[in-house]
Amino acid sequence: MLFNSIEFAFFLTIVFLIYWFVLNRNIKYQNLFLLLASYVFYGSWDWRFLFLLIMISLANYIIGINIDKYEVTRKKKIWLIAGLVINIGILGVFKYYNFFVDSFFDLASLIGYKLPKSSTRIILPLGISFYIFLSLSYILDIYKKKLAANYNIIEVLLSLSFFPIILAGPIQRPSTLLPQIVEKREFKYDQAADGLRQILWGLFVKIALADNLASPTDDIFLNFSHYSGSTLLIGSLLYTIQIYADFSGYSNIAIGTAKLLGFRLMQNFDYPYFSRDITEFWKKWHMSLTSWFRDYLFLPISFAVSWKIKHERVFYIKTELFIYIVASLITWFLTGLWHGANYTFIIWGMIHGGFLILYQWQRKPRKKVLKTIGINNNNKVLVLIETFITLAIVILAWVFFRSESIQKAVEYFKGIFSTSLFSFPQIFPKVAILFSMICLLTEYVQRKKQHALQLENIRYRAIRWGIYFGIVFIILFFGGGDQKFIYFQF
Amino acid sequence: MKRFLISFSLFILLVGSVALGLFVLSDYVIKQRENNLLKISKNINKVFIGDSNVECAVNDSMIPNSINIAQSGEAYMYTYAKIKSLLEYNDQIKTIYIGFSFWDLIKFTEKIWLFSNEFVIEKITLYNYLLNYYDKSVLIKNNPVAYIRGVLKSILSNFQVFKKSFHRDEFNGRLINFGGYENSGRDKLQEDIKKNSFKEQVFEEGLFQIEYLKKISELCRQKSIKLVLLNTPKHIYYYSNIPEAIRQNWISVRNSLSRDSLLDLSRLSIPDSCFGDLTHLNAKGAKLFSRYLNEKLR
Repeated sequence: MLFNSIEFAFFLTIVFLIYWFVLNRNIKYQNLFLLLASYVFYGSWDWRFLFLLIMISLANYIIGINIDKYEVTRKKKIWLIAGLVINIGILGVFKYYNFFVDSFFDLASLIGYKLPKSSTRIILPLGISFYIFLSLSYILDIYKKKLAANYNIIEVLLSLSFFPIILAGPIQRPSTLLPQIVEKREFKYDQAADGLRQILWGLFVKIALADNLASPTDDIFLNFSHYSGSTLLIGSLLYTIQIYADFSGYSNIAIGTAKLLGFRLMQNFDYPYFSRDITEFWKKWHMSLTSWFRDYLFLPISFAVSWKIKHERVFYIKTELFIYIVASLITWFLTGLWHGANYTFIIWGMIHGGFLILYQWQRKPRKKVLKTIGINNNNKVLVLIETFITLAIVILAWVFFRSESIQKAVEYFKGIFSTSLFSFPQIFPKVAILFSMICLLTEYVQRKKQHALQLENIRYRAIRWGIYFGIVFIILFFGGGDQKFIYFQF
Repeated sequence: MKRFLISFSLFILLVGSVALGLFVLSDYVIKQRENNLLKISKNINKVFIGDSNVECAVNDSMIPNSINIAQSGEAYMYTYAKIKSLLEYNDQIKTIYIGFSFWDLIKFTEKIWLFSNEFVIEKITLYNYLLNYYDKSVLIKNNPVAYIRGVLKSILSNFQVFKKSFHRDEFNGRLINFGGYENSGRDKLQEDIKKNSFKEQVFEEGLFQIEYLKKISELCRQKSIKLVLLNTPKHIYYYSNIPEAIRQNWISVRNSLSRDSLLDLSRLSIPDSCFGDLTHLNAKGAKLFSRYLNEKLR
């Protein structure tokens, strides 16, 4: 049941009506109903993995209680470690088994051992990276006493498998979702209407934009050796827009759906392609994942390293920067790996990590240089140039992300930077590019809002409805084919 | 809550009404232009129709007095609708060559071409206005969601075709959106030989495919048109690996259409370099085959 399917529209309508009309007096029944709806939603993809989801949620419920129960630090720690091993172990087996086994056999053949290849392949359960991260944050927050263990099994299971976020986020941590589950929810017209608008915008960018870009982008990346440099450059630009439209579209639909049910989820994108530097980009792209890695990996590593270093400099590098480098490299290696079991994702993560380190390193000298030459930091030309450079880095990194292998990514780059870069592109999807322009322009104008369809500044209802109508008809008439969301594979 | 439901229902109602209105209008305007859209040159008396095999194999520019209107993934239901409407406006047509390959008649193909989301949407977008109530009911029964999506998409497509119908001369004698000779540009022969996926398919008869093929045969008989079942060249590796059940089914369907002629060129000797994959000819193959066909049809 895809968010952009008619089946989901029916499912959501039924859930909405029962939830608010039949069960609105009793929060317990509402929660139980939402949990069942979440399991139906997840089970509609593959019922076998539903049991895995239930088992993981139950295990974390028990671990959470035990971490909370013991006052003695050692026992708490044992339960935490057990929780980490279970969660990361399951993720490792389901997501990385094939990758590590293949890598092992490749390595063996590289050093001259010909081993028979394993025929066992493990299927990746949908959304596993997302719900494992929810579970991890649940037990880690209890351990850090940021969250008290909840003894109500329905509430905990719901927080770990809430259907709007179960497949591809936002990774709404139980510490912020559980209080909303526990509290009685009131139907609010404004919130529900805003939810619908956000869903509409999400559908627009997914169906009219991402799905229309999917076919030319796939074609270019699949057959890149047949295309000119300019076409390959267009391909990387199209993918840049496609992945944003696809994932931000999904997030908008998820957040909008939750709003319809009375929940507030965190924003996942904040118009990232208008970022001035790479740090700002990562504050605005997949925010729920970035903040997860920041809180549970980057900061703990930074603190741990800083406790061990007593000198002002390490390897001639200031300690502060050295800590940042170590923490960044580990975090970005794992961020890359989180996205998928392929070296291309690791390279992608390391490119971003590298540029973040570079940015951190040049911050102070840059300030000095600007002061010396008398350019204000908010100079429009400077902002524009820096935004352009940031976008270029992001686009080039996406080539690794999208390519099947590092070798193909390198060949793709060779193709771009060839003499044919200055020829007219062989593929130029006009309609999709037109929609991309409309989308990016609208988002730029609305960048201070939570989503692009918050149009309360337009006084006349007829105009607002006219805009909604226009979007609905664009979706109906110009929507692309049935495309799954890209982030489902992670 | 009440206010929300009223507003939402009103919005949906308005969207639905406008969509319905546009659909009725687009259907009406395209039907008004059918005469112009479907009329082909008076000297064309041979029609090649079918799926991608015919689409890629027959270069109609090399066969005088012919037109190729085959389209990839075309189920016989759409072929039937196309032939019916074409014959209505073109009484000069004397012979129809219809694609008749082995896997056209099996359930596996039928499920994809006739009932999968992708194909229902694509074909309904193009041909909804040609289908009758029975055809539509078959699709609605089997994939209602895709049918509705196809109908919505057909609105814009109909208006575009309507607009193009005023500039027919720009289409070099082709029928708008009706398919035609296409060089697929495929180069996957060796890959396909390695994959050998055809063997994995489970055999079951494609009942709708067979039903519509028989309808086409009946229609041609009524209109005194000669129908030729055309099996285009297949690669030798493919030919020798066709499962016996599929081959027998093909023979049995052919025998049930004994009044129609069969032009089985599936074993025609054609070099590997002429195949785009196991069942499709490339541009070079199409040239070779079309020349041969032209000689044979003289």
